[in-house]
Amino acid sequence: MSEAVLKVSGLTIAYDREPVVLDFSFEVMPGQLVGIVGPNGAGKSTMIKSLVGSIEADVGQVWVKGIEGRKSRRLLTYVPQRGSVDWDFPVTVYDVVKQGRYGKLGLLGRMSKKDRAIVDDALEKVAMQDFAGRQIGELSGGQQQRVFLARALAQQGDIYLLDEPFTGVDAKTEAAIVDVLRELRDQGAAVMVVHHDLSTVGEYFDTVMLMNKRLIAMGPTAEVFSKENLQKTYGGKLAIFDADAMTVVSQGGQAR
Amino acid sequence: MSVANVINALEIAEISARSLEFFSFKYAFVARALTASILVGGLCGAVGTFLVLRRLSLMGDAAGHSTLPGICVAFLLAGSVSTLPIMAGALVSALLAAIAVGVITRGPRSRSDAAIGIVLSVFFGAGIVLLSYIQRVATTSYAGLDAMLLGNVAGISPEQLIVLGVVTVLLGGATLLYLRPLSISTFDPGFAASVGIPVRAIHYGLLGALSLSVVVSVQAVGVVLVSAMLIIPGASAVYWFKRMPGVLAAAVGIGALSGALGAWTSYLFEGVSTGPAMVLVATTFFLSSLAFGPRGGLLWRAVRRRRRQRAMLANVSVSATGVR
Repeated sequence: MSEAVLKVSGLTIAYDREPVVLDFSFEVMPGQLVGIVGPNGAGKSTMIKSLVGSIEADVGQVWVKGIEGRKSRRLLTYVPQRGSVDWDFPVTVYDVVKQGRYGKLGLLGRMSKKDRAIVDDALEKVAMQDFAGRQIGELSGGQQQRVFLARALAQQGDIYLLDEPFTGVDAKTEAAIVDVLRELRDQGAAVMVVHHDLSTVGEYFDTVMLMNKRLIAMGPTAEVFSKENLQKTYGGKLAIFDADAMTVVSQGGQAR
Repeated sequence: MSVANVINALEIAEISARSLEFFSFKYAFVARALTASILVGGLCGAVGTFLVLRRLSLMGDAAGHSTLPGICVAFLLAGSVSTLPIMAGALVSALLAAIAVGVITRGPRSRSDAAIGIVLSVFFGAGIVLLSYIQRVATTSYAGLDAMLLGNVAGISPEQLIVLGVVTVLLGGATLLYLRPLSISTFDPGFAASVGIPVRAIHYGLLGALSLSVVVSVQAVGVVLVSAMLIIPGASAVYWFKRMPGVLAAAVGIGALSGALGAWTSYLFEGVSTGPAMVLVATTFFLSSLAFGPRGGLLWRAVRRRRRQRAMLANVSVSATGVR
């Protein structure tokens, strides 16, 4: 059994004294594709942001590949929610993917031939190479999301955290993203995805994390993604639940 | 020839002569004024671009207005309008205002636009009260002080120009050096933090740069309108370029040109303060960008809509004949 690449212990985050993420402890192994599921306001985005070092946690420890501390967080590859970004910003598709190389280039480093090849590869993986020169605001939601994924690929990490990559994207993009994530998993990467559509959880993820401010359950989807656990997670908010078909209609939408 | 024509011809001759004088660098004070205007325009254009892109334009307004009480207190303490005390006063006051906005915004109940509005008016109000007091009691000349309200670039001293030059070089260099992290943290702060860019330090660095730029610019444009020189060039430049380097260069160019042409206008028409003159020039740049800019300008948007409609109509008629 290999070592956990991401280990979290007692992670707690509060806004205005109200805890949104309460005492999370879990581990993620290489080659795991994890769906993070829970209602709006369950703290999913908050947890991810704190893992990648974008917001400060109040309590708790995080080890990335066995190393604790702020610097180790840079080994995590983060794909933020599409809505968190200003899409009118004067930047082209190529520039955005190039940002994935910032960790290597630093302030003034120049893109080497190898860096450029990495960026081109990433664009090709998400089928966006023909749009490299476009300003990002000219793209559709699905294309924007694919550019975000390409930037993540260009970072060449092996632990990925994606915040609602399927929100507001077309079916073709969703399928393309799922393909890329599976490929990453098969190459031994650890991937965590905040996910809203309960009907596809079983199909997409081998492991699922159910949360609502507290960690309700985490484990193999077949075992953990049960009616009981879902009711614990969503409470009365769950509208329709058909246990056989695993189709669930939740309130959906964007979480913060 | 009618009398009106003669007057007209005389006026034109007069204007040409004065323009020649202005751009010929014949008088040291004119050369100083022109150099200062270009530097102020370019510097404000560069710093302001990031304010515009971060939706912090109102911070520029607050920073400008909030320098007034510091300037007045410095005048009262120093007893004259000497460069360094006035600039130090302006800087302290601008930084205090920025901190005040930050503290009010930090709380759970407040909105940043309200915080900016409150701080701006409180500081400016205090400044105006101090200014009226100075006008009543001051025995020494306070002539240079009213110029701070609307700007008088002709009154710029050699020391002021030196400080302005040094600040422009330093902030210009810093902008180029930090262009990458500045751009990334403006576009996507969450991602920026995840790759180790010190997002918060960059934010405070930008506010510091804003305060410094305002302080060295008030002699030329005045505390009231310095915000326009910060906001308008950047807001115009985004209509022309799709990448950050182009936008930044265009903003610097528009700012510098507005500065030069504004200073020239106020030199031609005596009694016109330089601040308003520069702002009017900058505004014409903004209006032409809004109208003709290829990236979201009104003309291009109309042309594209027309093309789309025509394409759709063509499609509709094709499918209509197909049905038949």
